[in-house]
Amino acid sequence: MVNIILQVIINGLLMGGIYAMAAIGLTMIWGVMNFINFASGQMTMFGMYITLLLSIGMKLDPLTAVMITVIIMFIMGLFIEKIVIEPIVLSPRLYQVVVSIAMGLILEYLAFMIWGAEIKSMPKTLGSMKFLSKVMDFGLIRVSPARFIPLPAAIILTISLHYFLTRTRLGLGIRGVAQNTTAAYLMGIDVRRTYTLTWGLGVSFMGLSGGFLMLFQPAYPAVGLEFILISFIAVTLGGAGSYVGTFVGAVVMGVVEALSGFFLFPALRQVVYLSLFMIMLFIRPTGLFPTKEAG
Amino acid sequence: MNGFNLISFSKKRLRIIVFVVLMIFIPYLLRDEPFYVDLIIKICFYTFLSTAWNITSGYIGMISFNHIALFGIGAYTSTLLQALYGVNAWIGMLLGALVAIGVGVGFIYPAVRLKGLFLALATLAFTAAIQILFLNWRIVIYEETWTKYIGGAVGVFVPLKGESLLDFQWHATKLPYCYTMMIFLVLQYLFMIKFVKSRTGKFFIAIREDEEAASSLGINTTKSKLMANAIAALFSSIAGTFFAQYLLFVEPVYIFNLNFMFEIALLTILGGLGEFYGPLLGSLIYVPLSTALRVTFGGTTYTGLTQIILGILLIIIMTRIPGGLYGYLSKISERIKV
Repeated sequence: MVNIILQVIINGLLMGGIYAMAAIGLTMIWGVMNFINFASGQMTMFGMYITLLLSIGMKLDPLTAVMITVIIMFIMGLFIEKIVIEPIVLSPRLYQVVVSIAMGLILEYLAFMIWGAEIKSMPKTLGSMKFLSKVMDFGLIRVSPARFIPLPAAIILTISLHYFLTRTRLGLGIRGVAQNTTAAYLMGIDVRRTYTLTWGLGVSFMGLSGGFLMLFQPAYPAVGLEFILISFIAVTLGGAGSYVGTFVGAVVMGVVEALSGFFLFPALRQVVYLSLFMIMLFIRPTGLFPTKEAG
Repeated sequence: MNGFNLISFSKKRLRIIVFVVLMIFIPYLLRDEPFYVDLIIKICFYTFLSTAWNITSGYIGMISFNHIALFGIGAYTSTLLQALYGVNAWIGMLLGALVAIGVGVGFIYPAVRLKGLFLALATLAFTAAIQILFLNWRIVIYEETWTKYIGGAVGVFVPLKGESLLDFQWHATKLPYCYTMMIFLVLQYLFMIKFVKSRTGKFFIAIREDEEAASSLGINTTKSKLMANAIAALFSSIAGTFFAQYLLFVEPVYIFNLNFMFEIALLTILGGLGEFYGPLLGSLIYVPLSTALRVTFGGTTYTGLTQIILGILLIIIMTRIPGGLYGYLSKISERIKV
């Protein structure tokens, strides 16, 4: 019994790594532009499909495909910002919500049209997948490398993102815009370029989480919706704009989800975390690690 | 002065008469074409529900997505009462409205102080949680020899009775449904006309424009917000019961559909958010357009193209005409007058 519970907790922690990457992408755009991206789940879903396409269609190694997915999603983020987001930066918040919802719908049905509604998974014999999908026995627990990689990757990425934002000129510019857009503009920071860069980075994080998820879970067009809610919860738990907080929130979410799925009726696990989310919002809407007045 | 009033009064009355005659005759002329009758029902139904959304999101400025949960609660309450206890549909509708108001206000009460989009997120989570609960909630009926499940993912059928207004179901023709929905819509709009001009309606707009200023002038913002949600819950649950009676079947995935909720939001903003005619204008354009696209692309390999085209159209409108179509049209008509 003990090792089953341990296994469940470990699985939750490892899944938390995936959630963390998606949620960091969300929190970045949220913190810098005060824009809540309702299409973030669909962007993760798109990342999954692009990884699949690259590794099956282009015969690339799955891990290489994940890296290239990140680059493609980065460019996609830049384009989305330039075409769709730039005209509505100063519009009311509700318009931004609606535009991102519409964007999510477009992405979801685009995936549906291109790849169909059926569930698709990565072939287990492809390149490094042979090694990645092999289950390893560590006595008490069993983990496959594909499940294990995302968590350390997320930790490294969070730390390097922290250094990027506190040590480099570009990163300091992003933080400056997040704290006070007008002051940053007056100090000579190119706010427009910072917004574009933020979208590129945010979307590439969402794509990365999708790429890693593709290594051990099947893809289908509606997979995005569950991801949206989980990333929102992770961000609100941690505090919008706080990267470490979001990481902690995402890992907590992974564990809560796994434990409630194990101890309760599995289908009701979503109700558990949704209730947690609502209670959290009612009690402390700024999150555990508040950065500034968000909302 | 007196004469001017008389003329404008008779003009107004003429307009109303023409409107009523059109409302009665257009569905009647189309009675042999169920497709078009269904389209008119859908337009009225979408307008009805988006007006409910417009009250909270447009007038008082609380961006929320819990209407579809209340809509579903209305649909389920009347259907379950009919299926389990044989309660009349109209009484079920009233009870459903009471339950929806209770649930809606009970949920909004702790959420009232949430600012901006946090409320939208909380209501989104609420709707998702309600859907999952209904998806897994099965009711057991003991019949003489076996146990029968209803509810859950299987859904609930409305028990079939004779065609009558009393039972709120008709099978051979859609025409009575069309008139019922139209009457609902007219009643709702009469309420809205009174409401927008009333003191409370003015409070709502004051809260939307500046909540702190409104509360410093002595407006009880919490009370107004709860009231807006109660009205929205009432309308949503009535629409829910109508929908259940129209389809004669309820099922969680179809009833608590978040995409449906987003559609309602999109078409309201398309028409004009916080505008009296916004929902009507939005559904007059959106519903025929989406139906036409679905008829064109549905069943072909391009099925998903409907949503893609609608999404792109919406983004173009949002980025180019931010005031919605109503604002755009009134701007144009002003320019013509000048």
